[in-house]
Amino acid sequence: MSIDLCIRIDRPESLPGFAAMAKTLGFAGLATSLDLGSPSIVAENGIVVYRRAELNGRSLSTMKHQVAQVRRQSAVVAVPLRGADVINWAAEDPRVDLITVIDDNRDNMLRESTAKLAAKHDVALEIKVSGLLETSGLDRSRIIKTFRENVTTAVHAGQHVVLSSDASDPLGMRSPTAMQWIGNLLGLEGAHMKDLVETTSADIVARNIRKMASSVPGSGIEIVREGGRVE
Amino acid sequence: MRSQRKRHVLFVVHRAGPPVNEKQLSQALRRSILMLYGETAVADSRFYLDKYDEATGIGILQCTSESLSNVLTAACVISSVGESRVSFDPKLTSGTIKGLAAGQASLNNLYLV
Repeated sequence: MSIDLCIRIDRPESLPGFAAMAKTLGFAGLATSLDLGSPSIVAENGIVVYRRAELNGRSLSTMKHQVAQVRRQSAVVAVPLRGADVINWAAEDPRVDLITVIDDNRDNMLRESTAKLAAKHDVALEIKVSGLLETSGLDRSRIIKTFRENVTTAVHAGQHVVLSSDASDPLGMRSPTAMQWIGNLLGLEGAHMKDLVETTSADIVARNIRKMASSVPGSGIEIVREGGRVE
Repeated sequence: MRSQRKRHVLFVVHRAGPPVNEKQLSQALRRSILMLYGETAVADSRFYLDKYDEATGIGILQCTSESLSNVLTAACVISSVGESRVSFDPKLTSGTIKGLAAGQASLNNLYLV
């Protein structure tokens, strides 16, 4: 089951176009920052649309305040790869799902220690491929360099990597297979290529939807009702 | 000259805008391989469009087995061809065109050809 974890939809009217493209490309769902009124909705064509929150505060205290506000309403919470204090916090906070690499941001690279922390707490590294599709020449080579270095650090530390399209129009989306080939460009191979579009994104969303169902009050604790299924 | 193993890839080009013809697509693919991997990669790829239907965007390309990942990666990062926005979607890879027949039939049904 493949889910595109970042689609830029600015108006609710654009949603059906993205859902139609997602279905054509073979996705089961997509995530967007658009206010859906709930953590997830099902589009008319059966594509599940998840709400995504991107924390954009500059300071650690702002980030902590934001995550407390959005976690219960969002299926995916992402933190941009910026200062060390914010990223080290994000890497071990169970409320954060993704650390997002910003295009051509050479000042803030993922550190091995942060990646190991993130790997331990199931926080994945997210690469938005729109930067690769919208640029060419030297601009693109700089982005490829940034992405490859971050991906290498993450893979070496055992951190999961996910690719999302960050598409602002339906044709900016790429199929799961196309994403795997783009992953190849970033240095991902074999099992990592398959993981980045099929397993990791679905696992993140499933974990959060399960938590939001209130049967998981905390990490490692799940309330199992009589006759209920243990997962 | 040593013969090289070929790979054939069934693909769909999704588009928004006017139809993309075979020549435009072929040029865009070669240009993308050139940009990402250089002149020798274009030469070594022996890239060629076997079939392409500009109405549906369904086609089959061939390249050498060694250059398959370069060709498909370069194809997947193409965002526009001519005046059309495009999304290249590789569907199936095989050593022979015949091996793609079943996949092509199901794609044709899907796109109501």
